[in-house]
Amino acid sequence: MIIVPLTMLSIIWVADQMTNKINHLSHSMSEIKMDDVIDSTQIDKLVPSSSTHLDEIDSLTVTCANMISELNSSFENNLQLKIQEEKLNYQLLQSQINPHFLYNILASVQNLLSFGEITKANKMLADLSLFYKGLLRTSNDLIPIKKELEIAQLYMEMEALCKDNLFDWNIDMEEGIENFLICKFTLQPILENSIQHGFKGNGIHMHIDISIRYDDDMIEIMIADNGIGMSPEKLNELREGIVSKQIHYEKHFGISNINSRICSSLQGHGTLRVESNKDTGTTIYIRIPQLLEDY
Amino acid sequence: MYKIMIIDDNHISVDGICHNIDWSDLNAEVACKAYDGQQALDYLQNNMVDLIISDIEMPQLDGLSLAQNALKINSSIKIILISAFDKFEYAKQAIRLGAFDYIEKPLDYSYLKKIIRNALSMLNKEQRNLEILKQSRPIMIDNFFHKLIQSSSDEARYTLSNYADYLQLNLDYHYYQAIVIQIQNATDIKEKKGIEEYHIKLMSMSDTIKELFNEHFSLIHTLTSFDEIVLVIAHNYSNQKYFYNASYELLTELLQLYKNSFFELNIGIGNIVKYLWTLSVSYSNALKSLEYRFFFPQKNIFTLGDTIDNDYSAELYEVSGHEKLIQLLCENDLDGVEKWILSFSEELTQNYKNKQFIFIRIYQLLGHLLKFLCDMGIRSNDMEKDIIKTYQHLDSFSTSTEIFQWLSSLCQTISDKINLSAQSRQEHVCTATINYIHQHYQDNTLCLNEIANNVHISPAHLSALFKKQRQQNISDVITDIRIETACNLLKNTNLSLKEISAKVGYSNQYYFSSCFKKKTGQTPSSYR
Repeated sequence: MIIVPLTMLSIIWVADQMTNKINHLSHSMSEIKMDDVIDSTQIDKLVPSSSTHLDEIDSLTVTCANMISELNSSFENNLQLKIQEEKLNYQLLQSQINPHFLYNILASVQNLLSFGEITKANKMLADLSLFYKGLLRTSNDLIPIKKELEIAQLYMEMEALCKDNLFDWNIDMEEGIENFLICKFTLQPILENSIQHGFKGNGIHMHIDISIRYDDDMIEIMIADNGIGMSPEKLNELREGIVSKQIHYEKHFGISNINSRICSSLQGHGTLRVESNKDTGTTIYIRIPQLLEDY
Repeated sequence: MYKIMIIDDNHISVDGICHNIDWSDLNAEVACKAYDGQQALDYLQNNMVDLIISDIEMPQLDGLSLAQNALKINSSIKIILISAFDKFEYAKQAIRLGAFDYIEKPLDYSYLKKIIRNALSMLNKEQRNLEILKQSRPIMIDNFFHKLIQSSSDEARYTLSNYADYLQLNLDYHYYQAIVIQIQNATDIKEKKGIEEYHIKLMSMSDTIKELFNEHFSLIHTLTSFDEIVLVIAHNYSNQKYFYNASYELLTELLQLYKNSFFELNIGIGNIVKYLWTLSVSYSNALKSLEYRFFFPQKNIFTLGDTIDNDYSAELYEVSGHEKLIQLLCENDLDGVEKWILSFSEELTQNYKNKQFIFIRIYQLLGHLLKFLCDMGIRSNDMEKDIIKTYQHLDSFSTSTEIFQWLSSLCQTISDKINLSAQSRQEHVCTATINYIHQHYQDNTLCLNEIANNVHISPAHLSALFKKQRQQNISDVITDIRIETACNLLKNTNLSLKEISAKVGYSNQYYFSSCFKKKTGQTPSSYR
């Protein structure tokens, strides 16, 4: 007689305990929102402190808490990636706009005007506007090689005017190749490197060779200057950066940035290679797949 | 016409600067346009340039390294560096390298012109000063030797060793000697012939001396002052004896030359020294030698050998004993003074049998004491007269005891004077200090340094002296005066605490309150 009510009571007590826990858990979980870093304090409170006495509900709580912390860390990772990408985009835009170059050209135009070189000033302004139009207008990342070459030539013409033709260049291209696609803003930074750092000094003239040819089912672009070249140490440093695909924001941003873009899946995993000898010049090789525009 | 060089790897920028600055207005012309650092340096190696205007960012040799190299080639060159707008780091480097100025792109030509003008006017000033410096080289050489014969060897070495190179003086010889040639009748000649005539003759004598010594000595320098010529000579003789004989003979010759001219010469020969920096010893010996003229009126050339038969020379110039006496006098230690005089008299009477040597020693001592009194700023006519009179009539003392008695009474007088003078001087300083505080306590910047400056002694000395005299710190005195005035103001006026604190020289009313409380035990408001 006594056993029955006792059993009843204990059943009721156990059931009550269980329901209580489930209620707490479901309440805490309903509090969770996915729009921000998840606040896990509610759940953490429910996790039992001693691990010796766990029932099913307790282990459910622990699993839930773990899941939330995993979610949080992956959220954090995502955020970091996003920040890095934004930073890269910003740097890219910055280097495309190239404020020092812009100031330099504008000052040169002003100077040309001041000594009455109207034709030269006119040409330089026209080149400048076309240059930025080409760089900044199309939002597409891939553009036909001929467009990219146009941008590069405009750049070189402006620099040649400033440097009083201290350098010249030659473009050699196989037929039809100008219609294949290339990452926008690939050639100009390489040429800028040559023109900013390649001169031997003492008024020694420099020549830049640009050749674009078929190489099996790929395209090879070669940009070679006969300037001052690089020391082996510097070359190694640059090559290491290229292999690791690290982007250096301070040093050789141009090259590492081009490298990371042509290596991406968008460009069908192209490659970039640097050869350089002190005093004889630097050559950059770029290999990209033959991509065409979809119509 | 100033020569300008413009460097930029952008040709148009170079032309722009060239074209947009009115060079003729600056009295300048563009001498060279260069388009990289190396070209610029090549030009600088072979051509004179006054001002460089250079871009910083250039391939290979950039503007900063160019500036560094250009300054190595010509340290007076002025450099203006140009760079892109946001490279402030460059500006700092440029100035550190010694560039004249730094400007940013885009160029404001009127500003650039202003800077060029400044640079050129600075260059002009520097060139003028350089010219003056070059012209003053003979005077600097004279100063060099003046300093050399008058400074102790360490001091001379310390201040002068750099100058020998700069003045292109070859000073590396085996032996050196200083000789003083005194014009005994200088005053007479000046009166009779006029000062100009006198100095012209003196200069021509200096030339004669140079000619005379030219054959036998490598270094000959004469320092002509009012009544004497100091002659410094040096040569690589193989030993001192040769050197000595050579100079002695030449000086005898000189005396012969001037025997019947209107100059009456006395020559004091210094000892021969092995190191340039110890020439002052030789010089002071030469002067000392001349002093003995008094005892040898028949002679014209004096060396230490004349005055000393035996090897007394070291003792004769031993003055550390004198220092000891002066120290005793300063300490007012009369017993010590008495003892010192006793031992001095014993030493003299025992060592020197010749009366004249004793006189020389006493004469030296008196000279020393006079100099000391003069240095201390103690002027006492009767005492000086007494000393000089005694000096002139040393002969009138019949025994040495008399002399030493007189000496000891003199020391007594000096000691009293020193004491009195020190006391009164210290007292005077303290009074002046307190007066100054009274006048300036309202000024919250009043400090020890300011007071010390005003009473003309060092802060540390003033602080110690005041404490000793008044048994009180100066800062306490200042606080006392301030608080006392504050008490008066609190009692007698309705001024606010802030106004009162400012009036008595506190910049901060809370600080005033706490000082007041510390001093009186009450806060200002409760005192009121």
